[in-house]
Amino acid sequence: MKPLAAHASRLTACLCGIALTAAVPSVAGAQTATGPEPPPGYQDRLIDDGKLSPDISEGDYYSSSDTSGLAHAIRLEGVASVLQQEGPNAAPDLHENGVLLDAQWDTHSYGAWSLDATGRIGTDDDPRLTGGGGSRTAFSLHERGMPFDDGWFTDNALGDLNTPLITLGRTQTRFMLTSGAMAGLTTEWRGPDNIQIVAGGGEPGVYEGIKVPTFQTLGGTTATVGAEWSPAPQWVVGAEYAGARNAALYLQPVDSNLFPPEVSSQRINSNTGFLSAAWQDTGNRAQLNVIDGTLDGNANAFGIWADGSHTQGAYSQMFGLFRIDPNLSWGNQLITSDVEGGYYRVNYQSRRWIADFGVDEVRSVSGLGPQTTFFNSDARYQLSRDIGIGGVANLRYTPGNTAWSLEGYLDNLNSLGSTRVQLDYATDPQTQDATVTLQQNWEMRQGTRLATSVAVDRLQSTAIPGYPQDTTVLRLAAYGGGDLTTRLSVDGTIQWATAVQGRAAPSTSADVALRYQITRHWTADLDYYENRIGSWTPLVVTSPLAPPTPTPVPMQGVRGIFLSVLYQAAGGAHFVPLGGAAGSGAGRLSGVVYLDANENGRFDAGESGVANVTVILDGRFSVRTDGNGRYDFPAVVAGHHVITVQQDNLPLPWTLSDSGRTEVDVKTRDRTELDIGALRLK
Amino acid sequence: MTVRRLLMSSALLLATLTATDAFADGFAALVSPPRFELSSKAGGTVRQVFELTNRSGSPAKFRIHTADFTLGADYGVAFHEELLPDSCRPWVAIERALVALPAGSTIRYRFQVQVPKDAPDGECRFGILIEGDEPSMAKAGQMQLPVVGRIGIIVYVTVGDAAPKIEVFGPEVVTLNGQQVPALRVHNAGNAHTRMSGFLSGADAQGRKYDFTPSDLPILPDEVREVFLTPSTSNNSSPTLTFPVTVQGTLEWGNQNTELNERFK
Repeated sequence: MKPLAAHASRLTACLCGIALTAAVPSVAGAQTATGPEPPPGYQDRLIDDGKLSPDISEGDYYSSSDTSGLAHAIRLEGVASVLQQEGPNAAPDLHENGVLLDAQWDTHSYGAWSLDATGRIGTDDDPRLTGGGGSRTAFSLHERGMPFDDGWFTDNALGDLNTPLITLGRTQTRFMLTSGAMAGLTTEWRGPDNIQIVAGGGEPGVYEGIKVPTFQTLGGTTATVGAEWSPAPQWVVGAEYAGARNAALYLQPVDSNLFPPEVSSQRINSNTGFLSAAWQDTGNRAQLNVIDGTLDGNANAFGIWADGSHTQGAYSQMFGLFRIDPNLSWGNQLITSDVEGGYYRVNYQSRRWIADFGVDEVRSVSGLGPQTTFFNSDARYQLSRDIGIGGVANLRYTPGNTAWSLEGYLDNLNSLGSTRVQLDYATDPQTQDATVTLQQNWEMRQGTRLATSVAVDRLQSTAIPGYPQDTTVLRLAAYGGGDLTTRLSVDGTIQWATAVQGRAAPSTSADVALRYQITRHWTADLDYYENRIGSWTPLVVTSPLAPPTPTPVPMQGVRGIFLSVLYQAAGGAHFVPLGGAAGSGAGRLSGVVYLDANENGRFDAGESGVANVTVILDGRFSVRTDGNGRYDFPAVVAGHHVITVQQDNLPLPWTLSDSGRTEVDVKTRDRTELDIGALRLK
Repeated sequence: MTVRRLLMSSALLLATLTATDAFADGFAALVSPPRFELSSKAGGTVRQVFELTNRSGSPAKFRIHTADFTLGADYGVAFHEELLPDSCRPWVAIERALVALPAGSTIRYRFQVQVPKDAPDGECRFGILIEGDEPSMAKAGQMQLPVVGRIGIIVYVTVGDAAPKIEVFGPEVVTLNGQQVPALRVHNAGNAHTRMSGFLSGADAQGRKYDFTPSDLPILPDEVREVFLTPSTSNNSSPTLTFPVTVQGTLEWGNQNTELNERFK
């Protein structure tokens, strides 16, 4: 047996380029304004004798930049776009032009702020962009992480926002509450014992537009308030209320049979409460949720669901049960309702295996919806370093409408790149679809990329009784891109499909994007895309009494051009108060070091400040007094501190007992004045 | 719309009520990728790019230069700024020697290797060192020492038909991180470096089954190294083995592999 030092982890770090640190005391004095001294010995050659133009594809940082002040950033983008449709019933051209602004800035005492705003420019109010509402703007102002004493922080926002949710409401496995858009105000407070308090309210609305989103209010009001906290280690409990008054539903229900007609089409009033409790330890978690509410005066609707998870070694399992009545909403948002059932999922991971299996049983509480069982599984096994195989199997069982699919693939890493061969088969009561696909991600030189795929897809259908369809489609696709110069890059995709047997619509689509880095802060993007579905003649059933007839379908297409000019800049550093971490609450500590001639302990008129003495905070941070004896620590972390004074520059015969040691409490956003008087030696 | 106008006015008012100031902290840089494994024919030129990010909260200057490197018996890397015998650094050119980066920013930094036309098959190896310009103070007991952060990128360029040639010697048992693990002594008789990989499995004297992972540390030409076979189970990433241990599977390197069926005791 041979003893070896344990070096594996260190070794990996060294060979992978992780930061090494070398003590070089002599370097300290060697820095100059023009940079450090070159190493002794060998002098590196420079590409093109040092005349290589900078690569600014990720920003030109060789010249000096704005690095002063607290962290701040701005992103201003002007966009112009036009979308054209071809074919019968083509809509008129859609023009969408506007400006998008995103600004962020840190503050000393009021957290980090951000402003997001968009404005659409133009004379027309196309209902496809405004939803008929006519608004041309969207905006929001956020303040995040504003500190308070005793460990409290708050986030506040106004503008076009999402309604706030307690953490228990949004971190769930199977169901979660939805956050709706509104024009209004929100606030969130976080404190000791994981206390979280949220509240918000406003007028519900929706975002419209494609390139320049605008916010359209829908009328009515919505409001929510909630809180959660940890009453004991490993436990979190919470509650939240959401209500809507005279508000339109954010999304119309898919099946209006599940809701009364007035709910589907008219404004609603709702009151909903949510209670939740969660327990967690290492590897285990359980959460119980209860929801109860009324929607437009209907009978109370109730929901309850429980989720659990267990992780041990390479296995992780999740499971749960649920029952949620119909007619439940959260504010003006419909939530998943009219369901009951359970689920179980298990995942296994090792060096060679990745495997998942899941089963979900879902039934309708009202009996109006379907009863469905889902089985999902996938597995991947690494045969060797370069070869892996895998498969996916899915089954959806619904009485009278069962469907299933299988997929198998082989991945191979080779000198050309990575290759995948994949077989897919899917079937339901009316169709069978089999596909063979060959994908290749090509090994390319640095800065370029290329992937291609070819697929043959055979679709058999009995959707038209007595007239079985059998179609084979060939599909080709490629994606590629690269840096044409240090300033110009291009990316593009192209897809083409055609029927080689039977009836199917031929299609082509292409998308090319050019990006040009104009200067360090300015970028221009030009994007062109075009999709075409060629003319073809499917069989169309016009009457149950007549056989289907081949009916020509004319070509349809859409093309668009998008131009963007973007300015972005950032600078500064995150605020770190003296003695604290970034974002900690801080206050100002200042005062005067003076000669206390009348020895009353106060800085009186006629007494002199002492210039150029050093005042030390907590033995670590120092500042010198100005000509009037004034010192100033503009940002000191909130809490208890000790001030001392270095007496070297005190004029004789004045002195400070115990170096002027004074204890002081600094509060967040508060200004603390501390004058330190020197006494005459006696 | 009245509500929105009110909110917009409030937002603009609040947005004007904040101010900024300056702070700084120390060296923190990130490079990607940390290693290059390239190939070229004699007479060819290979140009590559790495990204350097200043992860600190303040602007920083970095000095960039090449260095030869050697691996110690414990795989520790030693960089040599002077040219070592047979160094290929004269083939290498870098973009610039000094880079200044604002806080949080990234640059794409280029370097190239121009292989001479008469270069024999083999491997060019060198490091690119990125060093902080300004030393920061590190506390060592009661002393404060100025230190400079440094990141090293390792570059391998295979020239011509250079390839590793691995000879696997008999099994050994070594102590790694305080645990006894099986190991293989291997010799690289080729003219290019390689790393071992593969999926191995086996059992210890108590019949417990394990997966074994070969250490993927570089084995340079003409070197003899230990390849550690680190055990793991689905529930334990660092189990204690009871010897003797048997290990089977395929050991892979480069484009080659060998079947392994060894008993370690």
